[in-house]
Amino acid sequence: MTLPRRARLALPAIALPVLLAPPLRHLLEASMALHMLVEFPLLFATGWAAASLWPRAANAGPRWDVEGLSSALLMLVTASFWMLPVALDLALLSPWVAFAKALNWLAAGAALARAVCRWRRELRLFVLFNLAWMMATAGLLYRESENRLCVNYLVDQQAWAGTGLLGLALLLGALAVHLAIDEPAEAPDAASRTA
Amino acid sequence: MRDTPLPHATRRPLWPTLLCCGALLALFIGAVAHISHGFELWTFESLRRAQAQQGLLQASPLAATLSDGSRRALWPHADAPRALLVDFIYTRCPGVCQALGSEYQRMQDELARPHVRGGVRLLSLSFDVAHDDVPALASYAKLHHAAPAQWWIAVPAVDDSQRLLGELGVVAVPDGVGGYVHNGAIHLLDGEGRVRGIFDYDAWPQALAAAQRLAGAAR
Repeated sequence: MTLPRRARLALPAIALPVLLAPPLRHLLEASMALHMLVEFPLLFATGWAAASLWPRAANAGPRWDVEGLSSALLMLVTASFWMLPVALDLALLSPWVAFAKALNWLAAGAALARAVCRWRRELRLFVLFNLAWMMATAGLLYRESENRLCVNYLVDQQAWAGTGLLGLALLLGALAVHLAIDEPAEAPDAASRTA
Repeated sequence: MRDTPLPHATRRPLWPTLLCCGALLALFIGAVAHISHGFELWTFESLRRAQAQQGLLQASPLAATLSDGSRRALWPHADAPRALLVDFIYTRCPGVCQALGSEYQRMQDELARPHVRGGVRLLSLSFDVAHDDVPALASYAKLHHAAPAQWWIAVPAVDDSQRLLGELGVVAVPDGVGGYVHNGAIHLLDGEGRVRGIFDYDAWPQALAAAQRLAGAAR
């Protein structure tokens, strides 16, 4: 996925101060839905856009990410970790955890900006389906729980965040299905035959 | 979507990637184990209570203004109570704080019985420092028939209040209609300000019994 260079420059330049400056960050983090569904994706997109500013090396990617396995794992562990209620609370109560959260999402975005184009179709489907079911599970949990799972958010905010996560899960699931239908599986070594 | 075919991808050594994946997984599992108390506690509140059980929550020395207008050090202090049952209130609270007030009244009645030995004190601390001045605290004390011999109602200074809430992990969130929702509970503190237990409101008899045991042990 390639963004226009101006957008790639503008996104980190605008988003980073917004996401890291306390008053604006607190505004986003005052709502659980905005925290999970706007701040996290914005941090991710900022990392992505910043990494896209550097020209991509025309090789098979770094040695530590053969077949995109490491970058895919980074995406999955990042998303699953920051859906935990205790992680969300700690991100608001501890400056160190808040810093780790920003760094984690920025790094995930930066890593994926370079790696996604190298992911095989099967890996893309695996990641998309996994993200979808994780978000659906967390969304249902947040939606249905009658107790506050995060001390920083009210029950109705929790329900809204749960609904948003369910919506995002559906979107990712639909994207995965679209990808599965639209992009047929490659025959073994098809790439090497076409090269 | 795939930009570049990778004819030699399968020939590249896999071990750096496996090493990286292993490190990522170890970091992930370690972080989750750390914040969830060994994969057991998934909410901040349950984690806070577990820390209290282990004596890991320590409040810094605190002074506060009481409902009679006097100011005193609450802990540590030469004549500090040996056990304090602390709850966090704001006097405008129409719901759970008023209910907790009635639980505190019942604990106060228990403590006032002649055969009960001293050393336990009830303490309602306001976190609404902007609103809860001495007259507001006095009204609250009057409403709940708080007897100063058993039950202090107090408000700390702004900075002290913020620090205490942070140390004990108490979070008050505006409820959107002028009040607050907070992870309120009965906190059992010793005379040094260390939290020895956190109890739900309806577990007040257990909280009182634990406080009496603590006060007895500290004699």
